[in-house]
Amino acid sequence: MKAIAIVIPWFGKDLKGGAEQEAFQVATRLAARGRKVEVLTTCCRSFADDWGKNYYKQGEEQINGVCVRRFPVDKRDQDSFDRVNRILLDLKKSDLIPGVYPIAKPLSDTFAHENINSASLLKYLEMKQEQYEAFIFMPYLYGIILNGLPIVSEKAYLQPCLHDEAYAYLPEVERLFFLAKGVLFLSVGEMILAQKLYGPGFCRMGTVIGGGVEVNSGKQNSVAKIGSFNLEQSKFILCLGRRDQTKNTDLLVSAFEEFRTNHVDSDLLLVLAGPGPNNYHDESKGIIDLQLVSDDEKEMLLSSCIALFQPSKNESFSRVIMEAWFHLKPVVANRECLATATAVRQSGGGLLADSKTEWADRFSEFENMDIMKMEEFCRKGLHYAKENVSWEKVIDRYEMLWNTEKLIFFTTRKSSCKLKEIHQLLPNLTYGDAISNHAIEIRNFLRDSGYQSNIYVRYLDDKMATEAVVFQSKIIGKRAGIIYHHSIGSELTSFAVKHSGPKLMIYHNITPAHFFEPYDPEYARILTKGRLDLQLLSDVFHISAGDSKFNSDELRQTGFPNPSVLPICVNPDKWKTPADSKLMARLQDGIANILFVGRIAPNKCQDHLVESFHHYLTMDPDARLIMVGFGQPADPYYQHLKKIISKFGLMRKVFLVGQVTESELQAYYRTAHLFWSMSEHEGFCIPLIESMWFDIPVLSFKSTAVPETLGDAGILFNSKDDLIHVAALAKLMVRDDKIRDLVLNAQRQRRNAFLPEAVWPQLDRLIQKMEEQAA
Amino acid sequence: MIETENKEINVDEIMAKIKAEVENRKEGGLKVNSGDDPFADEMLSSFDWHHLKVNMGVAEENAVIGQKNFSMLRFNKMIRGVAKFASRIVLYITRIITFPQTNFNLAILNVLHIIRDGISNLERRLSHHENIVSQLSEQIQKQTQLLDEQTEKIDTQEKINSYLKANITMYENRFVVFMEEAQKRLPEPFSSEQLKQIIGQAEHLFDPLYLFFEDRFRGTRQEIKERLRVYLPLIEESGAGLEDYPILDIGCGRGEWLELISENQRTIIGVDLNRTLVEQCIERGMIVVEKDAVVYLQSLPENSIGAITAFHLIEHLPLNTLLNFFNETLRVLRKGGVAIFETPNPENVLVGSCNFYFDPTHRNPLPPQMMQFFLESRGFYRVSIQKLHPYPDEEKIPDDGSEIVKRFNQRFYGPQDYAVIGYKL
Repeated sequence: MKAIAIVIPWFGKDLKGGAEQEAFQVATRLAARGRKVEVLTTCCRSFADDWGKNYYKQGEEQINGVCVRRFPVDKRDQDSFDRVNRILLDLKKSDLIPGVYPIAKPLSDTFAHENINSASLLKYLEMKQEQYEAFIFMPYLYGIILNGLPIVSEKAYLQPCLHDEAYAYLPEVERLFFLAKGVLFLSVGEMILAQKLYGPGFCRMGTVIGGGVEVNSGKQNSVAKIGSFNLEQSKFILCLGRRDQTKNTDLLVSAFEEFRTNHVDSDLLLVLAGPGPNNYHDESKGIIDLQLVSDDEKEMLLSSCIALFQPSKNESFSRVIMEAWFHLKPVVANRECLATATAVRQSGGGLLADSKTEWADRFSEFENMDIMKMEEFCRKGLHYAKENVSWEKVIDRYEMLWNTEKLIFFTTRKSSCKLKEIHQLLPNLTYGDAISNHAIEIRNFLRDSGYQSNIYVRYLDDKMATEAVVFQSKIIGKRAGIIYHHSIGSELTSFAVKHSGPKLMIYHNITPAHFFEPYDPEYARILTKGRLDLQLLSDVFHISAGDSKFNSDELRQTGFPNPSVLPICVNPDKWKTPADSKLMARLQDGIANILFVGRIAPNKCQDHLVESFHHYLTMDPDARLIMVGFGQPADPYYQHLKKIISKFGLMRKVFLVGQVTESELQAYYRTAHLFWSMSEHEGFCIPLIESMWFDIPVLSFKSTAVPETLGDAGILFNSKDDLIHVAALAKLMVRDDKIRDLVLNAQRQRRNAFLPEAVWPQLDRLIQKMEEQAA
Repeated sequence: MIETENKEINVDEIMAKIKAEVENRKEGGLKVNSGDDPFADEMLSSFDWHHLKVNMGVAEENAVIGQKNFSMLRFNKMIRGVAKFASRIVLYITRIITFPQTNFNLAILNVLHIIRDGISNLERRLSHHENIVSQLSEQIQKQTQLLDEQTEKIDTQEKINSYLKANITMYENRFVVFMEEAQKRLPEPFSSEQLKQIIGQAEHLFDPLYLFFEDRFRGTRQEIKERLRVYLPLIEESGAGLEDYPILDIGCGRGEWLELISENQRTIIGVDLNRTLVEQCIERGMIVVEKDAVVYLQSLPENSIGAITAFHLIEHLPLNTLLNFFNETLRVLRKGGVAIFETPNPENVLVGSCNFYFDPTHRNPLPPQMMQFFLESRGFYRVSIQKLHPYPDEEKIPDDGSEIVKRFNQRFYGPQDYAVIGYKL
């Protein structure tokens, strides 16, 4: 059995940092289960020591059944590093914009290069990677992680312990998320933060592994006093952990003072415990600062308090909150901290607050809380903690990483199969086109399954030159299988019809002509003809599929025998690239971005969208509407749309940005607050699924295949009679956190139905049918 | 309105929130703010501020050269000391070259800062002015709209006043007539002649109403004048209205044709039975006679008139009168003189079945072929039909090339009027 290696700058039983404790627990517990575990670390002792100095000797040692290999650290230019570090620490929150690097590349290069590094550790990774099954790199912002993970990326898991701080915005850190084979998060909130910072490209490989918490319940503890503070006779709210400005202790203290001012008769105390430079102790104000306490004292404080308040905005996982729940205590967390707020919301084990007044109100609420309500919080919190943070469950999840195949579904072509080749035919392969991307995914699946497979097209976009071949007659053998992608028909249709080998037709829908008649009668005639031609194909293609049941039903009505459904797969891996930084900087300016993606076409009813948006602005003026998609300025519908925009005076609020690059599209998705569609005809509507991956709530008119694609995600409206009400709904989906959360939660489940591993079994069945046809 | 399969979502709760949003909107009034949008400014600006900032950061970082020692940490303590000393010497000597370069770099950086700030300032000012222009445009548009509305109101009010005035004048006249006759005769009873005169006033009882009717349904003076321009070439070709061969406009109404011809320096006389319309035309300075059309024509010598026109008259005449009218027209026209009679076109189904009857004094629609026949039978030559005033394209069914759409548009949205034109040989 190959070893699992944990790579971390410092390692030791007594190290206090969260990542170091996590690494120690994971390593020793995995080893206790019989796993071969090694730790690759430096000879530096701890975070607080000089990162350029070796404390330990280079070499191997055994700690609790774990082989620890220590490597000497490199000399470094501390002055340069400190200068850059100071710049990063001085950045204000408003300077940190997701997708926009906060400092110039040379400065971030200095940060990575003059960080804690070890050339010998990196060399070891390069030379010895074959000896290991997997590597876990933690946490995210140190040199050996930034420089080491790319060397072994195919086997590397990143456990970032991510915080919303300046370091997280560096390009070197972003790169880790794109390269790693898997990303392990301590909490759902941390994962959501990562998606906010880096987009959804890593999501498929992301796992909430959770952080483990030691539970000492049942242990006898006789601590009654800490110093002069009598735990048993006092009624207090507890705040545990390091106390400084980054942990928001000042805010909590200030809020407590406000509470005491408004409730002069209250005897409630605020107790702070943990290391920190400041001392907040003031008995006259009811604030007890115990500074650093022992583990036993901490246990008693948790057992004796009314509730735990965690004001920090900077947590990837709050161990103390979990500990509080194990002690059957409710918590209050900071609404702005994704990690802790998500845990509180999901568990129901407490409340949230962010402003000083709200924190002050929470003191009052918990002092006077009904016992039943209190118990409900405690019960829910305990249940959540048991499910998510017991070490047994955490280690089980680690084990699953290596025991479960999370790879793309594939079918091995059996030797008894007749078909050696299955090729695809479609009119063109275009950069950024959803059908083109789908065809590429299908081709890759076929090749992985052992078939020779190419894509043949009539017209090939330069940017896609390596992905397809221009079709010529006789290029495909008679015995080969073909998958023909059909929409309105092309020069390739007749070849597909005449092909005598096994064939499958995938139908991508033809827009009804009546949408185009007022604007482009010529194209409307082409669409009408396309629908008529479909009937002719029904006699020729005995195996067929639609992107959706809606499309499939159209095939059935046209006469195709038993058409199947093959959804278009939407693989978030394609977003493992940076978004356009210019757009990311421009679009995150506090104004709500409402997005629609789709070509400018009458069936997509962008004119209705503009009119609805006009009403939206009367309820929420700080918004803009961005429509991404191909449109010809000379096209009558495009001109009609421009007139509508002008009629409502929205030239500075509505933007037709045209066809964009992938990185620009990613930027539009990442900065959007709502995806809003008024389309009246869709065969599938890929942007709905793409929006789900970018955590954009979806609002759509109920038509054709849209309800089927959305499933129980998003929100539909079924009438355009009152656009003002529709606009009001849109505003709620942008501004009402509760509605957004409910919609996003459902969307995060629904989007998985279109991953390759979910779609390929259906493709596999269709290929089996082709094999039967070949036989 | 809302549909979702998500069981966690309470649709009723959302509907209540929607209603509250809409209520707030009503109470607050329209708050559309299409003014400042920094993104819009950036989108409209072709300036790449982001990359400017990044690259200036790099420039700032590297502007000062030859000031810093290299890192000597690679060397051990002893050699490090020597290396540091040696590098200091080298730096000191090379400062001869690097010092001016550093000064140059810093100066260029300053210039870039100044340019950057200047561009930013210009963009801000431009954006500010664009906003002002946009707001002013909006205001002008609103004011223009208000002005148009006010003008329309004034126009309508003027028309009403005119009608009321005409009505009052008419009633005054009748009263005066009645009083004069009464004064002449009292204490004797009225003679039959006097009674005839008094009763004769009844014929003109609704003259002002017809003026109002014209204003409401015919179109504005300007619109009618524009439409009538189509006939000017015919007048010019015939030479009518010059020297001794004036143009006669029978049923001249509000006098648009009289005005148009007068503007073209030709002589024209109007004839109408509506006293109110006649008085209005006279007030405008036109020559108009209040007389029955056929009676007037009968009073004229033959071959004395250059052109005779009648716009929307013939549909008011009974058949015998119509034929008499055509006969007299031919008689009084000079050789080569032209007659132009415009009337609603019943080939248009909407006109023939509905619009024709807007005017209750219309008798029956007159098909163009019938009018052509009548004129030819009276002796006019080169009789032709000119179809006029089809509906605008945006009101028609979009043409998809099919026969049915073509015919439908012809029948329902085709020419609403036609003119029958004939010449005297």
